[in-house]
Order: sequence, then C-alpha cells, then structure tokens
Amino acid sequence: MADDTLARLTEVFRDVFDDDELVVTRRTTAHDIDEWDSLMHVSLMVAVEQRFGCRFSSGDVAGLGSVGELVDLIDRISG
Amino acid sequence: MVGVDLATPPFWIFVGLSIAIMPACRGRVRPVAWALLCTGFVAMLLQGRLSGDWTLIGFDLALFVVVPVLLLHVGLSAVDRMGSGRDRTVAAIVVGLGVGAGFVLHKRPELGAASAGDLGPVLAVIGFSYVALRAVDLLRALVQRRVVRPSLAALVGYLLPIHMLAAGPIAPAEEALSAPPPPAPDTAAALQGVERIASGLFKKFVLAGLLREIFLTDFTAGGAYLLLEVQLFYLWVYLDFSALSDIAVGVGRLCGMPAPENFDRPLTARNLIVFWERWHITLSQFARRNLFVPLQLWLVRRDGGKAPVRAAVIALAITFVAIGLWHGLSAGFLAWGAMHAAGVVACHLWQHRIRKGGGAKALRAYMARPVVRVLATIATFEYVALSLALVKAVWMGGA
Repeated sequence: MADDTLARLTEVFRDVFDDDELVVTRRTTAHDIDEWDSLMHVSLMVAVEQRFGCRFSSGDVAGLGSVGELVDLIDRISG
Repeated sequence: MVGVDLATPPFWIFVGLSIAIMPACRGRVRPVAWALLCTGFVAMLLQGRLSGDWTLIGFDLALFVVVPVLLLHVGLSAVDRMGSGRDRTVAAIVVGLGVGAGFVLHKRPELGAASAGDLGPVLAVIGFSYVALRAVDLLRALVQRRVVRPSLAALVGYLLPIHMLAAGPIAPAEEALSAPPPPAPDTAAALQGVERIASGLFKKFVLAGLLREIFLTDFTAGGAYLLLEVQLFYLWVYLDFSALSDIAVGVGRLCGMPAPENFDRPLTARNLIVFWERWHITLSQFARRNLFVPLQLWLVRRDGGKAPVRAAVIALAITFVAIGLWHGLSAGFLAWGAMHAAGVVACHLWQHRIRKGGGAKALRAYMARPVVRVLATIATFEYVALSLALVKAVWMGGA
C-alpha cells in the first residue's frame, strides 16, 4: 500500500512543482526540492488531499517533515 | 517591570537546585519535582522583584500565578472531555480568550480593571508573553489530540520552566510533554552544557554589556554616528537575546529538561525568509504551526486552490503583524510587524517571479551567484537593523 501511495504522491509532486522528472522517496524533505517552501507546502497538501480524497488537520500539515511521514499519514487516514 | 534577571539570586539558586535534583528524578516523581522547583522559583522571583527582598519566598504572591494555572488546568480538562472536534474547539476558544485577556492585561496593564491591577506586575515578572504562547500551543495540541492532557504538575513545569522564563525559547507542547526524559548527562554532555552557559554569560555580560555601555546612546547622538548605531543596536539585540537562549539550552542540558535552539547565525541570513528561520526560531515555528499554516490552509481550501500565492501572501501578512503585536500592543510594534510582513512577502514574490520565468533552475542559478548572495545578505542585515532602530527610536518614542 505504501508503495502505491508513494507512486501516486510522486504524480502529485510532479503536477504541483511542474517537473515531470521529479523523483521523490520516503526520505525526501522540503530541503531536497527547491520549490517546496512554506508558500507551496500548503498548496501541495491541498493537492494531495484532492488526489487521495482525504482531509488533513492543520497540525498534520504543519508537522510533516518528510515524504515518508506524508505516506504514513495518508495510509493511516485512508485506513 | 523587568522579568527574570540573571544578575539576581533566584535564577541561579533554582538552576543549581534543578541541576542537583532533576537528573536523578524519574517516573512520576519527575514532573512533580520540576513543578515544585518552578513554583518555588516563581515565588522567590515575585517576592524579590515586587518587594526588593530576595531572602523570602512570596508564597502569597505566588497565588497570583498558581490560581490562574489551576483555572487553566480545569479549562484543559473541559476541552479534553469534549467528544467532538467542534466542541473541543469551542471550549478551547473560551479558554484561549481567558489566556488572551491575561496577555492584554500584561501588555497594556492600564486597560485592566482596578480589581485586576495587582495582576499586571505579576504577569510582567513571569514574562507572561511566553507563558501565553505555551498555553495556546498546548490548547491547540489538545484540540487536535496531539498530546494527552497533562497533569497539573506537568502543566506547571511546561508553562513556567525556570530556564525558559526569561526570554523563551518556546518549547512545543507536543515535544515538551510527550518526549521521554533524556538520560542523565555524562561528562561530555555536562561540559557542553557548562560551555553553553559560559558562552551565554560572556555574550550577555561582557560583549553586550560593553557594547551598550561604550557605543549605544539610545539614538541620541545623531549625525553620522546614527548610521553606525543602527548596526550596533542590531548586534546588541542579537548578543543580549541569544545569550539568554544559550543559557537556557545549557541549563536544560545539565538538568535534563531540554530547551530547543532559538538562533542559528541570523546575522548572515541572505533574505528575510531565511532570517526568520534563524532568528527566534521557536517563535517562528509557533507562528507557523498555530497561525500561518491553519490560515493558509483555510484560504487555499476556500477558493479550491485557485490562488495559492494570494492565500500565502494574506496568511504571511497576518502572521507577521500578529508577531509584531505579540512583542507589544502598540502602533510601533504593529509597524515593525508590518515592515517584516512586507519584506517576507516581497522575498517570496521575488522568488516566485524568477521561478515562474525560468523554473527552478533559474532560481537556483540566481541564488548561487556570489554577488547576489553578498548584496542580499547586506540588504537583509540593514533591513532588520533599520526595523529594530525604528521600533526603538521612533515608533516607541526613543529610550
């Protein structure tokens, strides 16, 4: 499930950051992607919400540190 | 009214007691021991500050602190008992309004009713601005079920930590209340703690002290010296403020009650975005998780993500104005917050413009240019220095 989530997340990242060659792993953080700053973070999270049909709390959004944590959060919320 | 003063006895007496007692405390004893130390410190601090007698412990004065903390504990219990998220939010807002009233009374004691008049000096002594932020952080974490409701002892220890009462840092509730206690410091860790305290004392009492005595005139010198004083005033604020954080971090390591880092080379920040990632870090992080992100999330969801940049700009502007008002409920700090809001928004829009024109590669190439880096660093330094000078000399009406 986590691999599938990661693959779908990669598509979201490519859409949001407009980069078809972008590769994300569980270890990827905001430091690894120049465009992933505090302005884009929330837009990214809302795009993820729309793609996965889930809803994050602001605490979840503010506390995320890596793609791995995002994958785990999506899998937890999606059950 | 000055709060915690490192040149007076209570701080060092209770730091010594904390270092002697806390590393040996484990399990349920730990929060109780820490709460008793923090309460004793506040009681002695209040007695000394308000009466000038440092030999007594003002237990009667401490009631001014203990009773509101008890009320907050009752309020937190009420929030925790609520079943739905909506009910928890409503209860938290009610409790938050109480904290907000205390904050307003602390910042503008003249607005308080006569019956609350005695509370103003007490709030000033304990540095209520920081206590209020810790209370808000805890409330939000409790509403979102990110922390378990703390015991009364844990609440006292979180709100009134001896080493973080003077000027922060603001430990996140989730971290401070949920993290397992660190192991007792070994020799190397203890030496690092001592070194950090010594560094803080040197910065505060030697570097900042000499700078203030020799070079600062509270902007009364005028002429060309004014330009130099603007630079030196920023340097002094940094030395004085970061020194308190150094001491808090050092004491935290020695007594096993960690204090988060609050500064990371802010003087060399290349733009205001980076500056706020390095200056008063725990305040920036508090504002991000409790105001900026929730506000931006609400705005982006509201318009379906059609105008993410506009949402971010509005959220940034409101956040920085709020940070300004947290420093002081006055037109001066409102202007200071607005100045930083404008600067941060301008930086973000500039980066957005470059990225939109040439993609991420263009932004990376721009950021890598040595000339840009040097000029941007100088401009950032001057912008921050000017904002501090303006708030001190103009907006706050001089010394």
